[in-house]
Amino acid sequence: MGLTIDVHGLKVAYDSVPVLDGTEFSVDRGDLIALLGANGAGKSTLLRCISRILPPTAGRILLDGRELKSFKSREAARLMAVVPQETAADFDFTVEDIVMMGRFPYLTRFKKEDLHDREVVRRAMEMTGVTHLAERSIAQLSGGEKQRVVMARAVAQQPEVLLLDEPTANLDIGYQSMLLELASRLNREEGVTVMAAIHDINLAVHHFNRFILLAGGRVLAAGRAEEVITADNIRKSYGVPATTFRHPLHGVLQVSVVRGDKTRNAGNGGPRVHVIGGGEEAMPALELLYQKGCRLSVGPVSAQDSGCRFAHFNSLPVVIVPPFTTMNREHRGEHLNLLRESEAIVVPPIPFGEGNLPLFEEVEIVLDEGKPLYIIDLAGVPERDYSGGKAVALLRRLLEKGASGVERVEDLAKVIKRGGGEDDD
Amino acid sequence: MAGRLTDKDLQSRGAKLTRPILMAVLVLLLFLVALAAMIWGAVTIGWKNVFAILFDTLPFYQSETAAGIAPVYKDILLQIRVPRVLLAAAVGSSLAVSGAVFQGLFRNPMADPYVIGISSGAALGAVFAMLGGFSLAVGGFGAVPLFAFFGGLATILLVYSMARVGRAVPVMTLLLAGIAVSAFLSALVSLLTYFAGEKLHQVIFWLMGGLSGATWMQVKVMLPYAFIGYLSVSIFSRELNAMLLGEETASHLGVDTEKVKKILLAGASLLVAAAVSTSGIIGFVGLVVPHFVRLVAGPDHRFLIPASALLGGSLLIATDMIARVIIAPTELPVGIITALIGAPMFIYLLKKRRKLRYFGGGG
Amino acid sequence: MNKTVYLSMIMLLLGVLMIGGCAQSAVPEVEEPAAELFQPGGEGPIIVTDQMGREVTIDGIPQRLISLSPSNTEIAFALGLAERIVGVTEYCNYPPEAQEKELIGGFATPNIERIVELEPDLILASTIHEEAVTQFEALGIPVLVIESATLIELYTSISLMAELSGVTSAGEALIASMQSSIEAVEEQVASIPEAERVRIYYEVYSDPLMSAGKQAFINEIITLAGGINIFADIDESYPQISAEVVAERQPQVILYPDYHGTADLVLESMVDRPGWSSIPAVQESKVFAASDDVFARPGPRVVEAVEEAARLFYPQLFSQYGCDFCD
Repeated sequence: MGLTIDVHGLKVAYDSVPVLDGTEFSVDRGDLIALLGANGAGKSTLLRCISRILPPTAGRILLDGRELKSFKSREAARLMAVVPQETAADFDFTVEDIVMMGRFPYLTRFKKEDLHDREVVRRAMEMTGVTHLAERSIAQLSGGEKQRVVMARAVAQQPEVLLLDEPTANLDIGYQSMLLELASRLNREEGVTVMAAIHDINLAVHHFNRFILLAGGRVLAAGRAEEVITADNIRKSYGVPATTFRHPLHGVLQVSVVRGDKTRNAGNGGPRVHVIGGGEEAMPALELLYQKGCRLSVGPVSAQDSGCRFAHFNSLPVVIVPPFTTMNREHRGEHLNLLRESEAIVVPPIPFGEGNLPLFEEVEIVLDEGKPLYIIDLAGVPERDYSGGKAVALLRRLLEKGASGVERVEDLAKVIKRGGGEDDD
Repeated sequence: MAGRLTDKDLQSRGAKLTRPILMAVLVLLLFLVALAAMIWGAVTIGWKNVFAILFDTLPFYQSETAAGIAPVYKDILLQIRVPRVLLAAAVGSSLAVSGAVFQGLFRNPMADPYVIGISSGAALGAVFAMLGGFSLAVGGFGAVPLFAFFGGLATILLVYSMARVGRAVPVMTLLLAGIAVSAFLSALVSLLTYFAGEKLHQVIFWLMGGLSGATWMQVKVMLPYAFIGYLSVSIFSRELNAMLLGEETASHLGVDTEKVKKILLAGASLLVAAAVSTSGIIGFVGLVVPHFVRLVAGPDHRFLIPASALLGGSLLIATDMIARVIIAPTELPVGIITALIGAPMFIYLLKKRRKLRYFGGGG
Repeated sequence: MNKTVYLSMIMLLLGVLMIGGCAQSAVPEVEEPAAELFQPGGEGPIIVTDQMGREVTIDGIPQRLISLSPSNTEIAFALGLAERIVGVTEYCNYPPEAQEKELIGGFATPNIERIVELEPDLILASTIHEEAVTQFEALGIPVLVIESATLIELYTSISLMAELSGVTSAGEALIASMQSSIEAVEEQVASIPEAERVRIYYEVYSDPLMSAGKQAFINEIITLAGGINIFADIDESYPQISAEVVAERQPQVILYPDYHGTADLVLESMVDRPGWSSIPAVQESKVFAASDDVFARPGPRVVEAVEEAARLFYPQLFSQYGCDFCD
């Protein structure tokens, strides 16, 4: 089941503007491939070449070892089905009519649709969950329903190869997921070779196991997710800085674009501020202060914390403590140094427990030395106190020693502006 | 695994059963309308006599009543009216079918048989013939229909060669080229009409369209063209369905779009050229009849094309009858009647459907 | 677009213009009043060649005639065929007896069924009835097609009709009487020196401005009556002309067909036309209505038309002519 696709030296130009410039790759039977690349990288063009719509200027495409050109229209349609990005629906065919059109390659001129055809259509509609829409007019369906119908039609073609051209571009996340699930199910159960152009990398990674990344009209990288989806490749192909990380729940590789203005503000001579802790709760504070041009340091954090990643990414000083261990002398020394080097200290709305209370000893020391200390969301401390009240007591003490409470992160910006150094709002 | 149909399948097929019923209704309609048009005319013959004369033509049947009818009435019925009714059926169905094909080919609900200029070319040929004084030439065949026919065909060839890019002919280019050529040729026709002098009457009446010159000779010539044209397009009904979804999609489904486009274009053009050279430019039928059918039975061309043929034929027979009878002995141009009667009917039908089911409806 | 397409379009345009030019002379060539076309005597089938160049054969003398145009009707009645006429058009209003006949359609739109029902054995048609003629031929009914743009052609038409209907002598008599009446006018007119000939403008339509050219029968009438049609140089029947040229050519008398309106109204509107106040005809209020039925139909009443025209052009010479058809 499934067919191989081989693309050799493919060149395509629109009005002498080259789109594909020597594309080369191979797809095995039963592969489940996502075609990635920026807009205009040539994903759709490539698919249109493979589906025989667009004749290439140079190069060859082989389907199961045979030249693509050598297939007759009907023959090719029995082997390959295409799900396009959008289907114009300004006509009144019923859903069943549309799906039945998928049987066209199998019907000779004067043959009517027989029982077998109807059975195939019925199963295709069942599989894509559109059986209840059979008599409805396609013009009345929502985008997601329409795409399912088109998918059903493709399934009814009983293809060996399924090509999808940005099929989820106009769907909500529910339908997106459902559609790609269908495609991978076909691949799993029937061994159909599936190749889909997807612009949403994170979505692709959830459903596909092999990736081809196009850039500059050529294949930039091909293979498994880890090989293809790297910050470097993303930058080269999409032209934006990005970071990759593992999704906390599935561990699936994910991409996130880094916002431009952060790099702009790097080290802009704002006040030096240290932010305590650094899990997710610290992120808003870190981001805001960084944007405002403060020079930050972070800690203590463990290597997996968001705050640690933030620090690494922006090359900030950070105190890293292995997870589930208490700070040792060295850590404490580092921490103390950072505290002393900063002009102000911020305690974000982190939870407090036996594990992190000890670090406040150093904090108290510098507070005594006169450093400004800002505690965000004092009111919520009791809820975040997992130390049996010790945190509340500690903080009260810090307040008595001169620490200030700040209600929200945004207020922090104003306070620090007044407090220290220059800033450039 | 085949054959495991559930009740649901049978239900949905039940809805499709209405199509054969509709088809039977249309056939019956055509038959009845044709009969009515043979009974009514400028000259009163009486329906009993009409039946008698018609039956009398059957080889194995001799009618006593028929024997008693003056031969002039037989002549009127059999030599004038019957060919006229048959011609109306042939022309009406050709126009309706070609209209349906062009609407599907161009995916444009406003397309009619004349949209790519065949009528202008035919008109030019006809006016050429009329003014050049080639009249009454070429054995039995007027020079006018001959020139008109070839004028129409020449035009479609011209338009086709203008739109062609290599092996392919993009449909949008074809449409635009057709509109441009049509305008140009129409201007030429107007120019010639201006110089028509006393042939003006002739020219104007030809342009307005009408079936008053119907003879058996014309019927014998028109019918083969109508058949060939009809067959060549109806065979590709499924392909036309697929092409409604877009040429790329049709291609994905295995349709050889370039081949199909050429054949459909050729077949429809033949129908239009034959119709126009026979009876001038009769509007409305080709545009509206397919929409009628779509409103009732959906866009599937396997039903649309034969139904349009039947309905178009009926419509033209009926309107021609009205045109003949209403202020006899003067005849009104049939194109006026088709528009005056057809348009309100169409508007009524549109209003009655809550949702517009033709092209471009739906949310 | 490629060159071939452009080329074919230019050729097409040229071809059209050429044909347009030819169309002017598309009026059928007419034979002289040719006695040699007729078969002497009345036995056996009569064969004539009509003015469309068609051969028309009649067995015996036709008893049921149908006329497809008012002028044919007038000629037929003048030939004494009144009783044999069984069908006329709606526009056949002269002579009054014609209005009592069966109606078979309009001027350009004869109703084939009605005609066939009347079982004619000869149909009198004009060149505009081409389509109908084809049908009649297919049905085997003899059709005579006649057309007159000049007086000579009119005499031929009359002869043809007379010959085919078996009333040759009536035809000859009619022609003779017409000839003598018209020659009477011509003699008088001949005495008028060229320089004193009256310039005439005949306005067929006012919007657009349309006059009668060399091919129109009206031109013949004007010429016979001694006038000079200011548009006799245009070799068409009813050319559209421009108002400037009319003003330039300074007609002394203006004639218009009486379906236009009353003389006063017409004169008023003419005065208003830019540049027309300098036209002699307008200044002297010499704007007259002419009965369209009489002037535009090539038939026996051409005599009255010529006489009336002469009276209007040269009142001092032709005061003896009254006007039968004037109000």
